[in-house]
Amino acid sequence: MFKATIKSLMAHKLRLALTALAVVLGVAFVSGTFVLTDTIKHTFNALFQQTSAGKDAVVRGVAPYGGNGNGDFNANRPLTPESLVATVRSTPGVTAADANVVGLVTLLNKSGKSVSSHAPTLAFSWLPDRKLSVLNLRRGVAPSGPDQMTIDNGTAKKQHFNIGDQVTVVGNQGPRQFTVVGITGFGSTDNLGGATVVTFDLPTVQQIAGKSGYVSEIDVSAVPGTPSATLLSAIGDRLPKGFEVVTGAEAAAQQANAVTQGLNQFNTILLVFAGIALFVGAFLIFNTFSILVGQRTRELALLRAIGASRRQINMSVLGEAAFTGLFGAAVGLGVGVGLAAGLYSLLSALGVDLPRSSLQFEARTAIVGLIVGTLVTLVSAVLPALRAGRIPPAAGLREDAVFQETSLRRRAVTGGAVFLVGALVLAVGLFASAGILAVGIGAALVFIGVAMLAPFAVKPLVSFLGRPLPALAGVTGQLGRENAVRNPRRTAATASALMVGLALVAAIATLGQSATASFNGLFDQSVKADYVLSAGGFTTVAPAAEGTLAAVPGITAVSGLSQAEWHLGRVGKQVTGIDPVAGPQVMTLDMVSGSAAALGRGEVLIDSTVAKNDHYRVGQVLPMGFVATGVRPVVIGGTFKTNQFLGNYVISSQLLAANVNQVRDQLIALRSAQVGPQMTAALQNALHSYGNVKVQTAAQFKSDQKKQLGTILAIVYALLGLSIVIALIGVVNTLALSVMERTREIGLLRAVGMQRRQLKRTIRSESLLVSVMGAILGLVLGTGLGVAVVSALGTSFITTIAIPVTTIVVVLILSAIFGVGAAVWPARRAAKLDVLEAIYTI
Amino acid sequence: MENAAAQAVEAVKIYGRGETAVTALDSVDVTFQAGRFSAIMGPSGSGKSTLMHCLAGLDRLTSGKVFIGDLDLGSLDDRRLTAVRRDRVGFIFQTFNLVPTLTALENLTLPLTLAGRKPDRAWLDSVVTTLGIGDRLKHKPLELSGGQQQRVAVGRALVTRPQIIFGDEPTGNLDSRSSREVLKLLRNAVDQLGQTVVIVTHDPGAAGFADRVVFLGDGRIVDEMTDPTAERVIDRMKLD
Ligand SMILES: Nc1ncnc2c1ncn2[C@@H]1O[C@H](COP(=O)(O)OP(=O)(O)O)[C@@H](O)[C@H]1O
Ligand SMILES: [Mg+2]
Repeated sequence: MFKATIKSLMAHKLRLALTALAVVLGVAFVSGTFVLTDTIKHTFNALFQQTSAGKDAVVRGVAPYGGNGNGDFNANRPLTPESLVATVRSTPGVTAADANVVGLVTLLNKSGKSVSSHAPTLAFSWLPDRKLSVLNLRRGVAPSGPDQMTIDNGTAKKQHFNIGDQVTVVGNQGPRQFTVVGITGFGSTDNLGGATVVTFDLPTVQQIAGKSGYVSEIDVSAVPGTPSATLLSAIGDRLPKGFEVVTGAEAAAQQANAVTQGLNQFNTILLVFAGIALFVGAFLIFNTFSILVGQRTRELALLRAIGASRRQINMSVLGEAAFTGLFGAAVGLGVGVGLAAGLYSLLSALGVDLPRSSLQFEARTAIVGLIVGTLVTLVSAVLPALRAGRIPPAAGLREDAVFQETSLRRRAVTGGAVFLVGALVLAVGLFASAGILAVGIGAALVFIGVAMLAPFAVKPLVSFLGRPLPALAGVTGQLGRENAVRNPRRTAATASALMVGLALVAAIATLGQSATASFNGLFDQSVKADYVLSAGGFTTVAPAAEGTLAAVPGITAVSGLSQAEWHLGRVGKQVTGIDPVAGPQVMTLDMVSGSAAALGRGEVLIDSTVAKNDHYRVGQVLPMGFVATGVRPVVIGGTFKTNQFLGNYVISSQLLAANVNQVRDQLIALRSAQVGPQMTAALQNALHSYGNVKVQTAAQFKSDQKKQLGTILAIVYALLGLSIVIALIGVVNTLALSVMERTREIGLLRAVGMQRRQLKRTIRSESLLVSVMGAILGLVLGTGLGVAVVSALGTSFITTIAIPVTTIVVVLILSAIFGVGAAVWPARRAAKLDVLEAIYTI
Repeated sequence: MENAAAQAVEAVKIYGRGETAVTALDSVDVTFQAGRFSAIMGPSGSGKSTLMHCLAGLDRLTSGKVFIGDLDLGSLDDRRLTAVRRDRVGFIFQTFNLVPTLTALENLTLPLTLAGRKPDRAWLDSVVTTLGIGDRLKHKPLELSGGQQQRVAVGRALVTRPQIIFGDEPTGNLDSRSSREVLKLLRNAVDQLGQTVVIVTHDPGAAGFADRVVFLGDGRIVDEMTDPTAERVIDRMKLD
């Protein structure tokens, strides 16, 4: 039987090649993701190890809520008093102890714009002891005094900064002029993963990006040969409560971890899309094996007749699937490595300077890739294998042994059941907040259910859709339509693969459209400002800008909005800081109880719904735990109606500033006497030296936000693109197999006078119908899914349900175009067939 | 030579090359007159099908010429040759003559639909009447018997009023009763509808329906007989 499997594989290698291609693409997505993230992680680990080589110990505040969670270096632990430096330095065994400060600033380039609109600029203190520093001086000298700084080589090259240049840095107090005195590298690279790094001497960096009298950590080097344990305990003994000492290696590992934290999420998101691609691939594989088994009915029946057992037939088909899967997965692994290498270079080309590093191909990548690829193929081939085993030996004697529709009823029942269970799981996931996994499983089951029921829709739907075809394309259109309904299961499975990809597009589009439609209303309800100022991407605005803006004539109120993390017990929450006076003028604070004036008394305002659910009363004390300062008892001063822009907890910006290491504004909101180009120009002028602040009227801000949402949607569509490509490969595959199956018929049509052109058009018509059917199923299902998700989210930031009509129409048209495109190769093959050979094919 | 419906001149067809080359047609000269019913006979492998395929524009000669009317098929590209098959030639295969997704009527009118032409109502009616399958027109091929399928195939060959109709053992797969009916149909097509028919057959009885029999052997015309009867054909075959 093994031999038979091999023979069959060789005989069908072309047909299986396309099947394997689905596995190749899916597995390449998986392995590429792993290799890329592993490589980046490895790179950072190596880098931090390298740069921490001289650090024997690090003294720092104890992170009260654990670890380097959010990737902000030291933002999630309390600052260390500078006075502790002397204590550490005088510890026996310590040769050097330097105060290390890390903060965020904005660096302006030569045209007065922020050097980066998406990554932050990191400000470091220059460590006098060179062994301790993560930075090395490539050129120039160390910064010293209030007007000197260094810039990393990556940024210097890109922005043409040189030693002696005057540059502007926007820090805590606003813009300030510095002279570049040195150019630094980060280990062997020019900068740290694309981030700009500038350094100053300690007092300067404390002023512009930290707090005077405080440092982020103290870096220690010890007498060579001092055992780590001895050093740690010697320093540890001298530290007050709330501070700790760890080895340099441990601190480096944690920092590397913090930098690569975001990668894990990135990894998961990519894997989800890879999973979707494989799920779509499963339809293709299922379909190919079904068709192959159908085409081999006579051969398999013959095998049965000469004594092969049902099990042997099952195993023969599954063996073929295992080979195909394993082969596809192996190729996919290789393609994935190439993909990762390409992306890695692309990131470098985009200015993220990653150190040269060999690609990390871990055993896990190979194991996961091979198992996933083979398993998906095997599982998809189980049903066709079982069907093959059920072929009766007598089927070999009948020439027209077509598939029997015996199980139609059972199929309807099973399909309906799978659909309902899926819908139920989905509903539980969405409305009972059972989590994203339930949503995913539910959606997958719904898709499978619909795919099982789809054969029933083929005839009516294709007949309806194909109605104009005979009129448009004559008999070729009619034949295309007939061919599409000829084998409803096949058409359904092919269309279903496309359905999955397009359903997700439609669902995402519905979400996006609804969010966009809701945004206007939400914004108008929540924001009273005439102008909203913001920095691009992940960057923020120095709060000093608020004072500058307040001085502009015609401006009546200015408030920054800054966010911080706080903890209630172990639960992390967000709080927004606003100006206690101007804040309520620029943001809607619709008080339910208490008063907004409580902000000025250092009290906290709470969303009334949250207050109700958590049984908070005005006057009660809320123990707010801040990472920088520990638990602060804050009196509840009032409750307000939900405001999506403020979140659940609001305090004054002063209270916020007192409890975080560094304040940066996400937004600045203004009221002004008049709105118009003149005022906009005046504001831009006032903030000229801030470099990165976008001055927008409320209306401009709204449309800008919508544009950003559009960008996110575009990225999601691109990630779904692979699934759609796989589905289209499925269309190509099915058509090619159908053409092969109909070789004789094609020969006959050509013999009685069908032109090649007409034959091609016939196949294109069929492809068009199958694709459009898949698109319609997908768009209907996806829009429904989107509406369900939107309704589930109903209470928060999406309030209106909007159907993305334009997207739906565009997708439909594109499906038609790509459907016709998918037919090009099968049609060409069909047209090339020799008439006589074709007609005498058995 | 006047009124030739189809003609082969020094027709040579060689399959393969070198050692394995097979000469299927070895300089064949033959003419089929319009308005007559001809049969081609000969042992298996003598080149009957090859001759018919080349005459019908389904295959090309290695050398020599074939004409449909006075049209030299060798000079045509695939598009024109296809149009010749569609408009000027009718062809009946031994089996699998019909497109399974089309009804009997749609199969019957297929060459016209492919040409984008409307059937001539009167002609279509007379063809359908002659075929005697008026009640099966809406059926798909799978629902028709073998004899009914071949009759639809004859109808399809007739529907364009072609210059010539070829049948490669059109009754080879039928029982003798159905076979006889199909042959009668072809005879009628010649006598009553003025068509030209050439069939390949092994059956001396079938040859008896023809006006003329051409005998092929090893790719050459070896004999011919006018107004054959089954008995004379059997006697001729005994000579081989
Ligand atoms: N496509 C082909 N390739 C090679 N040889 C062929 C091909 N078709 C026919 N032949 C050979 O040409 C000769 C004539 O075949 P054919 O015309 O089919 O004979 P007939 O129809 O009289 O039985 C035979 O020897 C046959 O084997
Ligand atoms: Mg023959």
